[in-house]
Amino acid sequence: MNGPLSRRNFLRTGLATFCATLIGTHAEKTAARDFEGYHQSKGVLVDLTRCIGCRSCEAACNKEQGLPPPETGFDDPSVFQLDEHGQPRRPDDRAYTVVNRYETEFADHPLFRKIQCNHCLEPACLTACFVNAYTKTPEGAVIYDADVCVGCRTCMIACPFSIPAFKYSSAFEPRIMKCIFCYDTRLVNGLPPACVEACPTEALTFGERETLLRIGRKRIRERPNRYVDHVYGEHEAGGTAWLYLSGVPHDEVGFDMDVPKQPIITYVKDFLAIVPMVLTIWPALFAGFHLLASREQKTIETNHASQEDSHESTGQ
Amino acid sequence: MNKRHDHLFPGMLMLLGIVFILTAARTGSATDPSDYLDLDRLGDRYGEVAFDHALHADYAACSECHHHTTGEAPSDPVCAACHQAGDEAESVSCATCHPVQPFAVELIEQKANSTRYHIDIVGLQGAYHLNCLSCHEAIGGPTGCTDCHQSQP
Repeated sequence: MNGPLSRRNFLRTGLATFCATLIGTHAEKTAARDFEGYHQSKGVLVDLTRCIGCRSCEAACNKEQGLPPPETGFDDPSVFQLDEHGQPRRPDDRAYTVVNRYETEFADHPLFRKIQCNHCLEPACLTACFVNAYTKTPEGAVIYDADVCVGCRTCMIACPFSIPAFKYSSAFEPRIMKCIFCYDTRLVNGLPPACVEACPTEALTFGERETLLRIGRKRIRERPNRYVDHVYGEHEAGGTAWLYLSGVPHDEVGFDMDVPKQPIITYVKDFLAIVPMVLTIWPALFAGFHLLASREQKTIETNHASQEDSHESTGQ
Repeated sequence: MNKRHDHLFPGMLMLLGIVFILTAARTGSATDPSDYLDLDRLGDRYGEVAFDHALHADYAACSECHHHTTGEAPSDPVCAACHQAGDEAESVSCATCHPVQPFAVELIEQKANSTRYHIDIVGLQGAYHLNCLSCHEAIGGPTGCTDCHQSQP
């Protein structure tokens, strides 16, 4: 057992490599978790107490993004009624944003909420996409590249807000449809998205996310009776570029309060960190075990054979 | 075409006349600089809004819309924490403080300064709608879009 690969040396090296890998992946993981979004990235603060449900944002989005005309006009209030399944509207391949109406016991008038992509700081759609069709730009937008999309629709399942929609009418040229923060036409030029510019009551405020958080907290602090003490999107899904102030508890106006407070990728990071370790260390480890085991067997066999030989020679 | 315009012209003259008479009848009320304002700073997006300043001065204190700039004590307690009566400004025009382009790059940069207090001044469009609508709702004034705006073609 004094060959170049003794059992003791093998185990020692193996253990050292194992520990090094563990430490390495742990350090990497911690660094990634601390990502708090790009510096000076933009966002939108939505103040639900200001929204009057005029749907100007929907009309502006439709025009800016060249989407097909709506089934009924943007001044038709019948869209606020729930569908046959009792569900409010959702963004789809014909509308990147929709405004829904909510009746609650907390207010004597209907409340409105605009829905669109929240442009997460660490987007689940992006992490789920295996062809990298999604990009989180330093400006804050989560954009999508139809040229590389294979139409697997994993992003639709990954998104905690159920935002990406699939253009089923062009299934052979797969295309995900979602709000892109007017990235190419406006955001890169420092302009607010079309919906923000159209909002008559400035229920939508455009700016740097950090500033928007300060504005949101300031509004809550100065008018505590007007707002609930929560900025939705500050921590939800690890933080989103779009933030929401509300006068009633957020779940009363359709917000999902069960969305985790950390990025969705955190839930798979631990598992994903093991994959390269398994792929690189396990083959070497088990090959080593096999070699050792078969070598011992061979030694026993050789010893056995030599003993038999010596028996035979003494017998003679 | 010409014939139709011929019919329209006297009608418009009459309308202008009526507006003129109504305006003239209000002269003498304590408002400055004019009693009838055309709110046209956002004219590229909406038709100008004819605003009867004298009528509104009968309903509301100056501070309801002008905050502290006319020299009255601000009615909003948040403003009153710093601004007091006599704290008038050089200009009382809405657009002096409420920018037409509230999300211009330089304004966003200014707001990023964490020592700045006024980081939440709404734009002109937002200021009009928030201030006008909230009061109109409270006292039963008109709240329909075309009550103030000409309907867009």
